Amino acid sequence: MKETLVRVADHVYELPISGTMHVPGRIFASENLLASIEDPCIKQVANVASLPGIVEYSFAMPDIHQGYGFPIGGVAAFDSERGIISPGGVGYDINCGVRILTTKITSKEFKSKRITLLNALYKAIPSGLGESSEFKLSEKDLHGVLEKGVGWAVARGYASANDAEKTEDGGCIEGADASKVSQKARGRGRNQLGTLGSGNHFLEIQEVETIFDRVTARVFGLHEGTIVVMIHCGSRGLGHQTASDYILAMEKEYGFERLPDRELACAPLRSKLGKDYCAAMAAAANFAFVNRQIISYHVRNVFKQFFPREAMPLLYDIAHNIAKFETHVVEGKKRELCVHRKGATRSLGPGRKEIPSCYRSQGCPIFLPGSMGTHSYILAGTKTAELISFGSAAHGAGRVLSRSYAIKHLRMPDVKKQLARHDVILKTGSERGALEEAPAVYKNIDEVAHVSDALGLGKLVARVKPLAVVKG
Amino acid sequence: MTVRFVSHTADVQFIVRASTKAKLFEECARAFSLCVAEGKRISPCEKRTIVLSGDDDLSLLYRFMDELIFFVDGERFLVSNVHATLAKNELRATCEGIRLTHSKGFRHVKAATYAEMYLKKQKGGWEARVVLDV
Repeated sequence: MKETLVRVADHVYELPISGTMHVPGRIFASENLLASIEDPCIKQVANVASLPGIVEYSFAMPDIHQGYGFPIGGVAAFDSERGIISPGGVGYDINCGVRILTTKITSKEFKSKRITLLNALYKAIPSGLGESSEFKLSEKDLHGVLEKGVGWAVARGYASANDAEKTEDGGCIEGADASKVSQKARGRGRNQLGTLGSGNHFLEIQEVETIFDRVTARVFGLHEGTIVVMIHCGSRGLGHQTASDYILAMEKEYGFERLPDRELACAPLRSKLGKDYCAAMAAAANFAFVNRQIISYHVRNVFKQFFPREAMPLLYDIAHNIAKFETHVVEGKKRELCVHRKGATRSLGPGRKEIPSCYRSQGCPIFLPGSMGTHSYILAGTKTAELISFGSAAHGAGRVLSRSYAIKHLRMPDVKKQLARHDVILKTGSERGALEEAPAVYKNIDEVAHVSDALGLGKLVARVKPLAVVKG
Repeated sequence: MTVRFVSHTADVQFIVRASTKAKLFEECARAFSLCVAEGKRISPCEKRTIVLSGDDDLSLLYRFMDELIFFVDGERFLVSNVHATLAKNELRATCEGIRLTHSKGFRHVKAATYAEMYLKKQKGGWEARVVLDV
């Protein structure tokens, strides 16, 4: 399908309407990034364009790769009256996301304690398959997590009011209803609060290496030469099960015969099932916010042992697998839309009410994690993104090579040597898992970040370099 | 009966073959177990029973994989062998496996998916393809 793409501007390619598509596709990529995008991925962009009520375009961010139903890096907005909601457009890991804690610790100070601190973090934060947490939630507490989000953690002393304020949606998505989350999903999540999981999830200590925008960096609390802690994980088994439950329920209620892909099972936004999923998704998203908050609580406690005076304030916590009701301008008129972002980050420009007041003058923070051996980037949301992508940006590097390729062609000693050359220390429970996440399997994050900046999907603020990594 | 893992950009994909449809479900369980255990040998010591129905073969297979994933996350039980019987769209499966006392070195599977999933009769038996979100 790649041959059908039409270049309409620098880094912008259009997939014309064909077959059952209601709107064109629009892919944001440089020539290099486009070369790594395969046909099945472009087919997924077309499939999303075939869903009822889609508005303007089926978008693909610069880090797009093949997903389920939607591509990873896929963005689609649906009319809130006539449109649909699709669990496949949110992803199995509901509110998979990233947060950053800032510090005043210099990289030199950190490096002097790096190995013992990394070991302590690894011990304090459960990671890996189904690893249990010290939090064995009662039914009442689980209910509180699902419906109150970070507010539950504030009440229990695991978070500050500042943490809640600097989490997307204040750490609690409106409309969350714990009763819409199945017992099976609760069973999977009950013992997983405060756990990192495995796969591409990680905790990374990074040095703020380069500042691109001094004013915004200062507002975000970023200072060259200091370290930050980046945490990437989601709603664990609770969110995964919620997605599976509703995919099955939607295909039973509305069928799948007219869909280009069974994984795109969906329900009208105004239907009972559509509303139930929205309420369950919000509850699972709240679980994910609290999950990252509890991990932050552990991180702060460990750092206190080494740096007693460090407060480690939260810079921001963002979701990159979520559907949100937002107002955007379409053909000159404001419209209420349900924006699905699957492997995509919200990019709202200065002034939007959704942004915490302390950042409202700059735009919402955006995090683009690289791989464990490469840089990550911090950007700020833009007005341009609101105009060209329903306020969306990329979410990271995006895979380019398979897990089986990594196992077959890469060797862990070589990966460790490569990390050592970049002065990165890795602590993992699964060398195989770490090998599958080697830097070589990801796209060039520098290119993803610079294309995003050039297009105006986000404004570059700072580049950070990994110093120590925990992987499940 | 065979299990073959096939390259997939982001996740884990396998194709299984078996002489009957019921055995195909057994092979899918074996592939799941190989995926999670990452090649480690498992000596089963516990049993679980699954009774499931689906609207068609694919929804039954999706639900079956979903149940095996729930065992790991919700009950810390990893399946190794399955004995399955099928009647119309109902699956009965006796699952043997282990209780996971630790999890280091095991792969976490997030979800079953319909992506590229098929289950079909072929010359000499049955074949299915499953992609797991890891």
